[in-house]
Amino acid sequence: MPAQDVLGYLSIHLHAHLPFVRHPEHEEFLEEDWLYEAVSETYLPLLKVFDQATDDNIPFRISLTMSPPLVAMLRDDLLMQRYARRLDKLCELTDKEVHRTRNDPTFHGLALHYQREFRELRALFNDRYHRDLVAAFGRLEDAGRLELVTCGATHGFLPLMQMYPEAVRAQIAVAVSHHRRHFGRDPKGIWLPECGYYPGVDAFLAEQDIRFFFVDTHGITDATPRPRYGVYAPIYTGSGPAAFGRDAESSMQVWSAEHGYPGDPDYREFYRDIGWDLDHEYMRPYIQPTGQRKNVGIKYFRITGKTAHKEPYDPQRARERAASHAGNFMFNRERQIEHLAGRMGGVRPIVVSPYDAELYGHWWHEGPTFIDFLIRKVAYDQRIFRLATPGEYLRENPEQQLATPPLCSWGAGGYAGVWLDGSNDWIYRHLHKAAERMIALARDFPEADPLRRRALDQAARELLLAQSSDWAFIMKTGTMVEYAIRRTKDHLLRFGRLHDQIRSGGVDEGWLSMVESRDNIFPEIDYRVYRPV
Amino acid sequence: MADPKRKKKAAKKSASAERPVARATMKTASKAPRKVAASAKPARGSAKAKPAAKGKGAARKAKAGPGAGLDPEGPFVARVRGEEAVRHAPHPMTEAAAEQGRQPAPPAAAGGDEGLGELPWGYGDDVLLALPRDPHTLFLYWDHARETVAQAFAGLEGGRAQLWLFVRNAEGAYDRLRALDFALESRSFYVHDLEPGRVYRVEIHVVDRGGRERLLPNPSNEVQLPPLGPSPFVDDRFARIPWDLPLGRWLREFFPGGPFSEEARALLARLSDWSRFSGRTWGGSAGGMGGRPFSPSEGPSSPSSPWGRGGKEGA
Repeated sequence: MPAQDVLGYLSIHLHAHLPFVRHPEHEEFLEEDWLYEAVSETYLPLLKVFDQATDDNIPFRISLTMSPPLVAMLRDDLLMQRYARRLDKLCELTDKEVHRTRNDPTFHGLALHYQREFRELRALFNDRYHRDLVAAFGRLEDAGRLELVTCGATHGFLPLMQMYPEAVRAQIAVAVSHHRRHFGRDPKGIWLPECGYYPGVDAFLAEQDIRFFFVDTHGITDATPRPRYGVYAPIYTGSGPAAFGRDAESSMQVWSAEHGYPGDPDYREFYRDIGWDLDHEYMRPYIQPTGQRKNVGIKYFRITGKTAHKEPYDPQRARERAASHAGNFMFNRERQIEHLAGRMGGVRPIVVSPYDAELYGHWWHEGPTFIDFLIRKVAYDQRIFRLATPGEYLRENPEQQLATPPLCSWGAGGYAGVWLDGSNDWIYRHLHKAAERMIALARDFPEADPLRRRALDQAARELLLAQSSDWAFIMKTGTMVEYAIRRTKDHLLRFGRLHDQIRSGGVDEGWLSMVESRDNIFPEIDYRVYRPV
Repeated sequence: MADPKRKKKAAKKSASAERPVARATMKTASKAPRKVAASAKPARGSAKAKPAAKGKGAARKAKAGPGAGLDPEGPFVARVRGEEAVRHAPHPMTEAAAEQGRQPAPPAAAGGDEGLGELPWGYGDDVLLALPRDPHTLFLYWDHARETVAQAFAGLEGGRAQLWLFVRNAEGAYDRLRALDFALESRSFYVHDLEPGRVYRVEIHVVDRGGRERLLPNPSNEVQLPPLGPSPFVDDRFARIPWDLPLGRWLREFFPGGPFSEEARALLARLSDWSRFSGRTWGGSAGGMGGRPFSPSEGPSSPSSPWGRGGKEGA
């Protein structure tokens, strides 16, 4: 649909990110499940939806963050082998479930449903995508359906790094370089980690010719000078990259715990997983080696209501509900965009709806189906708006207002409070010291012999890994705190040891090789990205 | 979707009040056994897939049963449903919730076999650093060499540490805003109730009974707190940045926007604002949804009470 034929645009952005978790030193490692579950429940289902829609010539456009840690993990042979093994085991479990429920008219059909689903996932992963999901997403960008954007190299929260500009630059430059290496092109957009913006960060984006990023709603409404169009048009920051603001209304329809679509009684209940529900001995081969329970991704109940009582899940009924919600979402965007277009003096509004990608599928099981229905309905059932990515919008609408957002994020409270709190504020003195030392190393060793060069590159990797905002977030939320603390400390301690060895000239090559093999993210890194300017 | 508030209410009900729910679930699931976890045989029929999910009571059960432990989904649930959701999840998702039924933890991470030791307590590099937390709050940490501190206190009678907070005025000079007594050993401090949008810096001084004072090196960096609410400045300047050309030079070629009514601007700002949805229960990415809080009292709190009174603030 040509732009001149519609009143406005809807920009759906999915932010796909997981922290870098890879433990070759253990045969199984619990936190690696974060990746495996997201592959099964989000990335593969989304790829399936996007590929099918592309095959059907549906003219959809969606933007997607592929964060560097996620890309690195999806391209990691060890992790993908482990995932393939996991899928085999889950297929085995679904076979057992089919047998176990053979006399149960209520659940046998569901067991068969999961057997089909997991077999299909295995076929997609091994046969269609040849265990390379990164390439699969890249092809969708080549086909003009997705616009892939990058993120901070390790999702470091930039506002709390701003006093070390070289560290901010490294987060962005390493990410861009990594994106180029894996997707064969420069990213034109970035998802600032946690939507964390501070005035001045746009200069580092401009250095990499990044043209747009996203902020939470108040990043636009509280910008200076006051934006004319609210969040319904982007603003150009002082260095040129455009800031797109999150639309509250469309966000609310999906995110709201109370009123959002994912809470519908017909949708699958997240917590009722057979990993927790079924007999412990029966489940033992599929849960943690320690015997601790965990989700396995097979869930037999629907949300039903707000009590503990749960009815059996009905996939067909849930699918119909997803279609209905897609229609409702589209209808609301039609009315919203009609209303806005009438008040913007000829400027076509853009409604920006960003979501964590893992919300779709992993939390909201029917989320990918919702997107499938939505992109098809938008293409055929209305003429008010069309889907557009931020890049596409800027190409068609190159004139925008100049303004500067305030420091902001999309975390609770809207600023830095999630990542700077009594539970996690102790990390900053160490992170800052490491950044200061890394900058000094890059200054003092503009050239280095091969061994020292390897140590310098590894020091840069360790610093980046320590900076991941995920660790501070986990400490704040009190969830896998022990692991988050361990990761923060281990990377900082490895950095410290590397620093000392580089300075003293006594690099322990054996230990360095071991650390390189463990924390193997960014093999292409050049530590001189930290050089002071 | 499980609703934390409702679960909490359900958990408060008496055991007898819960019974009808339990019966209904059993009916749905036909022959739900009571001793799922204790059975060594594979459960037969999904009826035996009896759930643990019965609000708080169930969470306690899960903790006590074999295989109970920390649900690794916690960080994900916190991310997409908010911090509150993990506190009321049917499986223990926080380390506090898992305490009772805790099993020996697997190796937490990789570093144990490397002899990495512990992070240093400090670096002794005479630093005072200020970080912006939110429109009203600065976070400070400091780290001084023992000798630096000793020198600062030397010769002063009954010396005590004070944080001097400065705010930049319209002329670009700094005015002292507060002097706060604090414990130097605390190593960090939240300064609250500041005016949004202003630039601050901080110094640590040692002050004695006689009014003598000495600056503890070094002063902090300057830091600007984010402004709160719509900007009072209205200045519509536009730029045209062709997509295919590199950024930079085009920003010098800006032009004023055409006429636009204040009424339309105000309407669009109002439509943009999260406050239209205030009062609702939010989940949300990165642990929260709904943008900035409307007042500090709605914000989060922490053990060091960044919204409260973490330290003693003097005049």
